[in-house]
Amino acid sequence: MFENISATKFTPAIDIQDQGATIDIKGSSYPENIAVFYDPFIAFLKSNLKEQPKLKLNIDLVYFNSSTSKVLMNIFDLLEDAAQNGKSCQVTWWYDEDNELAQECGEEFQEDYSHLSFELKTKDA
Amino acid sequence: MNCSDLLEIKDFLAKREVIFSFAGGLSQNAIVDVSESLRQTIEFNDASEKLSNKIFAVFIEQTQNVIRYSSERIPDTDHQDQSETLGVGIFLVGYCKDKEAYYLSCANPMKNTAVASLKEQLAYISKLNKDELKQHFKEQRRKELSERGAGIGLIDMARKSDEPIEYDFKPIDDENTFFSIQVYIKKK
Repeated sequence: MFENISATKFTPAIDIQDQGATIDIKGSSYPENIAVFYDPFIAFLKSNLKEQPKLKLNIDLVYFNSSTSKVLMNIFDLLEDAAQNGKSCQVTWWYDEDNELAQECGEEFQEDYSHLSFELKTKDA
Repeated sequence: MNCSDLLEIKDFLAKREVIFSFAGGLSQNAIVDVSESLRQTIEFNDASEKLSNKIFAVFIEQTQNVIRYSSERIPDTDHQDQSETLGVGIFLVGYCKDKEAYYLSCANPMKNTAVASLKEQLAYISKLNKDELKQHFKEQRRKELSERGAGIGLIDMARKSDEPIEYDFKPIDDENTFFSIQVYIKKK
């Protein structure tokens, strides 16, 4: 099982709930070594997807660097594959109304996925 | 160094409209601290949140490239982080009145062996328009090896820049070249 991670200035909090049916990623993401931080989570996600009938992923990233962008793409690819194979997978991309960069990034990811349910939502002020 | 040199240095920076500068060894922790100082400087200059976020994003991409690729290293004795050395480089932010834009300039020495590939990437990127850059970013992101970041980091910088990115290579010696990159972000 994956232990929840608290946020640091440059890595997000990762919170697993409902025995893995809901995952929240929240904060900023620009670690120096992207693999060291995300590889354990990706491994967990892969095995979790095999066990769960459905998965809800909430992403609330105020800022993320280009390396993180690749990791996010890898995560969404996994969910897209699972969705194509019949699992219910949902991503909610949360952003502040004032954060145009976060909104644009969310919209760009949304363009690339057709089986995965990918929605954008603004956070309450 | 004589303290009497400071006036010349100050004027040198002022002539180039520099509002923020950092030169030395960079580590992940250092860039977090420096970024907060930079944010305050930008906000003091009355910038919008969108501008501040863009500047922060480019700062992180540029300085993380220095940490990864600078060929001049300093031992990091304070931390038992993954990186055991700091990458030496220089980072400046200025405000260019003529272009009504902030510029973010970053430079570091790099290994000659990596120069040809970098030149090729930058030459290619500088010819692309916004839509082509977006396409190129998405394509490269699919290809890129997981450890190295600079491929899509450069494209990301180019996308955020409101002018074509400027860059320069100056040979230093048999093994090293001094690489500089400059991005403009308009004060909208």
